Amino acid sequence: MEDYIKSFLTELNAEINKVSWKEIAFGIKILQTAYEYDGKIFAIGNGGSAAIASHFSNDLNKTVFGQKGEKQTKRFQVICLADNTATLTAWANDVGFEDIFSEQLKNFAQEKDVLIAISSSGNSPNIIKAVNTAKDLHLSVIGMVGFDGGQLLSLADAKIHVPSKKYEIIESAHDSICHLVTTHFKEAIK
Amino acid sequence: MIISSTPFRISFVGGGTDFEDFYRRYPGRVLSTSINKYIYLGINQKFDKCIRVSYSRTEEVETPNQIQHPIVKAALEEMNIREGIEIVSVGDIPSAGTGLGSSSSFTVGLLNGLHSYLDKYINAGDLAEKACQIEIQKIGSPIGKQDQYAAAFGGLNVITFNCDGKIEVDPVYLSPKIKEGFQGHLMLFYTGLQRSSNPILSEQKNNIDKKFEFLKNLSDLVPVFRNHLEKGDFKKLGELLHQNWLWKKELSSGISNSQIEEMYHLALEAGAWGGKVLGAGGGGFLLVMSSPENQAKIREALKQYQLTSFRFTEAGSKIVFKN
Repeated sequence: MEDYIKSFLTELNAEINKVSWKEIAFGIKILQTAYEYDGKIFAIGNGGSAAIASHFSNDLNKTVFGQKGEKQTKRFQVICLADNTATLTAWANDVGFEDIFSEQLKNFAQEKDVLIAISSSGNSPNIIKAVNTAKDLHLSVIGMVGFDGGQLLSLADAKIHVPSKKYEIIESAHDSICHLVTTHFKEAIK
Repeated sequence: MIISSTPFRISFVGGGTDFEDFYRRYPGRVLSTSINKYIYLGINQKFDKCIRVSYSRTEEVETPNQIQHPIVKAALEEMNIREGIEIVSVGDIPSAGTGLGSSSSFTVGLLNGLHSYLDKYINAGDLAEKACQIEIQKIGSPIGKQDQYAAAFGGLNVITFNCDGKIEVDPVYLSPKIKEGFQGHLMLFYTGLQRSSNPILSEQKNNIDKKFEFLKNLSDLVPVFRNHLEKGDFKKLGELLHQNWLWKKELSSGISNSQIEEMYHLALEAGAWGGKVLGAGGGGFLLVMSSPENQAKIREALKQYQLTSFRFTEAGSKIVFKN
């Protein structure tokens, strides 16, 4: 059992070390830019990636400034587009599942905003459609991908690629990187 | 109505190597950062067909060729806008002669806003290049290209001007601790002198042949400065800034003057490691680098000059309002 557990942890460590630090730093720069100009940040994903999108939104909206509480008036403005069941099911039922994120973006997005797109395969149709909409609206895109990166790898501005072939490893690595970014802003924003 | 917001910049090392006459022969490099001082350009369709431009003065004219402001005139001509527009500029600091790259920030912000006004999008690289074309080719300002790129891209960057004319913007990523530490070692004093940079820069431009070795040294200082910056070796950075200032002063006779020399001398006496006058020189802002412990002494020595607080930023020119 010890070997079984340690082999997962070793593999996770090895895969996370393959991620380009410069791409993470570039992602941080994109988020900082949105923060400075009060740009909105949208996060999207399906399944486990939807949960990561939701978790990361919470961390940027609250955890980063948690200890400063009410004193911190300037804050990140992150909207997880996977969180609203009514809107999601309305688009999915009435128009199509591919449109659930893309159409929500059209409600809010402006040029100075950012889209964080999380997809292990990098090929989920509803994610790719939203990224193309974001590109049309001139948003910056942070892509978090696994496997060979799929279409999202080439479309994203900041390319956060965990080149594993296992969902559990990829999603764990994505979560850790989100926590790294959270830690960065906790220290960097005065 | 459209509002663009565009940052000013602080240049640390390598200024002067961004002139085409230099970098066509040897790669030019600068290390600079955008700061939280901005110029805002408000652009709106005008009810009548006239053109109104408001900056330190207000112009109301009928056609673009009647506009006195050379950048606005050139930009409207370039964008083929002939009538019915109102342009208002508001800045966080005096708009000219401060060494913070303000005239290029103005050009970049104006072009960004005018593109948005016409429902066109322009990326940072094209925006910077178009601003260079207007300022250097169209108006004939004797300036380099670093300010336009700093304003359009934003952030702390090494900007490289290659011999083939290609310009690269390479972000310098610092950990929160080193970034905070670097800012904490810097102070910015206003000399109170507002100068026109053109005579200084014209001389500097004509001197490129004669001062070629100094310019090469300035360009080669950039990777050294970057290396020490990434390690957070602040004392060394202060010494490199001092070396940069000594070489920079060689480029043109107006870069320093007796007041600036006096200020710089007072800062060093009070414990500063180094510093420089920002931009073309001759006035504007003096940047001073020292240990945080010596800052109170330096402030006291330079107490007759206004101290300006600032923060590094990441964002370049942006459209912050559009309806």
